[in-house]
Amino acid sequence: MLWKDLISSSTISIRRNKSRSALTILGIVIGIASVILMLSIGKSAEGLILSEIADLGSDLIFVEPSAGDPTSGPPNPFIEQSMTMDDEEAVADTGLFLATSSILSSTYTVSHEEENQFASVEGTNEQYLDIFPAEFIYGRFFTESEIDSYSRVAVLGKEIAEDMYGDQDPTGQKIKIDNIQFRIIGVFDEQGTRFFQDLDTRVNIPVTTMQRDLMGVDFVSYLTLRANDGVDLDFAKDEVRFVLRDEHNIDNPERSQDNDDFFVSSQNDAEDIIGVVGDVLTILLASIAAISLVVGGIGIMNIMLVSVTERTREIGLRKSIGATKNEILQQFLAEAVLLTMIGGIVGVLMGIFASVVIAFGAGFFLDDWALNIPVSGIIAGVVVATGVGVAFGVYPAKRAANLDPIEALRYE
Amino acid sequence: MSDKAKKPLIELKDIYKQYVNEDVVTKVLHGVSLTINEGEFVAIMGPSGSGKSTLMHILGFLDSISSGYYKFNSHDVSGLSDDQKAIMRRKEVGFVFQSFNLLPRTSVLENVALPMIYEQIPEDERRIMAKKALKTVGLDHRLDHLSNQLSGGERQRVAIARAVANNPSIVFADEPTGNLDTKTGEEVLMMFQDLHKTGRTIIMITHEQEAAEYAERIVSIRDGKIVSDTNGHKRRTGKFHK
Repeated sequence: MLWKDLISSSTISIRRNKSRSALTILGIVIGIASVILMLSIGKSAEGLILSEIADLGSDLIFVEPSAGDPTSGPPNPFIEQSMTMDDEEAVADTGLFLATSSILSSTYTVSHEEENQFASVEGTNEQYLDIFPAEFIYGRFFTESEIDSYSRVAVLGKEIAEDMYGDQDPTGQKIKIDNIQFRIIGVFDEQGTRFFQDLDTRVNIPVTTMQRDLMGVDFVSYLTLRANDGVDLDFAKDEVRFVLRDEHNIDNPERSQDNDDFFVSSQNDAEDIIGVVGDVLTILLASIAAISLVVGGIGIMNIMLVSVTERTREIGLRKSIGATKNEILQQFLAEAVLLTMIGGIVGVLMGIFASVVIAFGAGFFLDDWALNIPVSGIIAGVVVATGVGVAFGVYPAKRAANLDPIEALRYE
Repeated sequence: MSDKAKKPLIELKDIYKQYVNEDVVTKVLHGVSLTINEGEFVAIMGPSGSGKSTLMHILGFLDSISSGYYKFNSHDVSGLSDDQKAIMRRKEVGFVFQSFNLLPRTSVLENVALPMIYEQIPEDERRIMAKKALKTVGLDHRLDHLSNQLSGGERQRVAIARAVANNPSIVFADEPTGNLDTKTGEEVLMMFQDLHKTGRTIIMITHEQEAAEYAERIVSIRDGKIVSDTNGHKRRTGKFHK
């Protein structure tokens, strides 16, 4: 049998049973389409996160409390709040950093007269602006002496300021945070989001005030550090670890991060972690794809077996006019493969279509959401679908090939 | 016809055939010896269970013999493999069945061209040969009709065209009139006579004496043995045939 005839005879018999063929490949179509869609969403989400990380800047270092290296193994939910302002001071004393700030954040009810809302409150020191530069509409940021004197002063995000004070300048006005009165000394210009946090609805206060008056704690959430120009970031991170082990009395001669009660990271580390998340996502998708394709493949096998039984006489006839076992095998295998290949292609097209729709929808909410069509996923989708056709088509095709021509011709 | 070179096409010597099914041995043929020459029109006649179908299956390379000797065109074909038999069927044999066995919802032309697919004859040539064969059975005006749009007689004529399209050495007809009314059956038998006149070798299996009498030679088989082999009978021609 010529290749051309093999393909045309498969096409003809698939077309002869249009609706059944369509139902048969549905499993494959849905499997491939959902994998393409999920890959696309995963890639776009990863791109969005990476762009947020890139916005942080490449000379920033974060130090957060941690039980060992959070990138190895599952996260530990019982983390001791181990960072303090003394740690920040010790790190600053290395002279490697342009600016350092302890950060303590929480959410509180913020109110002014009848107006009140639940807002994110962040305690920082005066160097915060050197780490995350920002413009002001009104007023100024806190000074070092305000930090040292536990001043009850607040700097508002643009949106929360407008919500509570309208268009007027609120500097000098009072604001209550958790029923404690603060004086407004400044309002930031529009900042947008940083790492998915809306900066425009946030209130900044001195970290000292936040520790003593609001939270009643002596720890901070984490430290942010901006390295001096020309300082090697890996060297700076090692220095921070060295200083903090000393501060925390951690005996760690082998320098294993597993023994630390803190974790030092930079933008590069965050990108690596996102990469790991991406890999896990890919494995997850591959497993889902494998399951749905096995289910789809069993469907194909089922229908091919029905088809072989239905066409027993046709097989008998083909054998009687001189088809060899191999030629019958090829014909039924070609049908199965053609079916799954069509399923794969339709699935890919549907997956792309759905990705475009999702990207269009997401564009309304997330400015940086970019449409991602995973080319490798498309190729893999069609190839794997075709492979499923071979794997699950062999058994029915063998059944057809091994039919006895005389009995097949007599089959009623 | 008689002055044609009487070259033996089929030579059977002492053929035995038995089936073993779950330890039960069924003996079907007991020492059948038969020679059929090129250009003959032979009817193999017998009641059901006589072994005539098994004999045809053996002659047509659909089945193997248990013991004995089968020579086709002077070549020993007693012990062919399944694939070798398939090649012999493809090259040397055409079949016409009682139940037509056309591909459903497939055009007349494609049905007739089907065997030539396995001979790897290119499509254009297949169409030409199939059209020619359909002309000899008088259906060249129905090329694009689907097989299920045809009457029984027309279907059998398509089947005959399919059997002869690639010029096989021999045509087997297995109860070709079994599913047809008398008049249409007669037309089909006349068609075999016409094919025979053009030099084709035809072997027809039937259980009807009347149908057998259209052939020039009648081999009767009963209980797996040949009981008579005559060619002196008065040959029938159809009442409806001009």
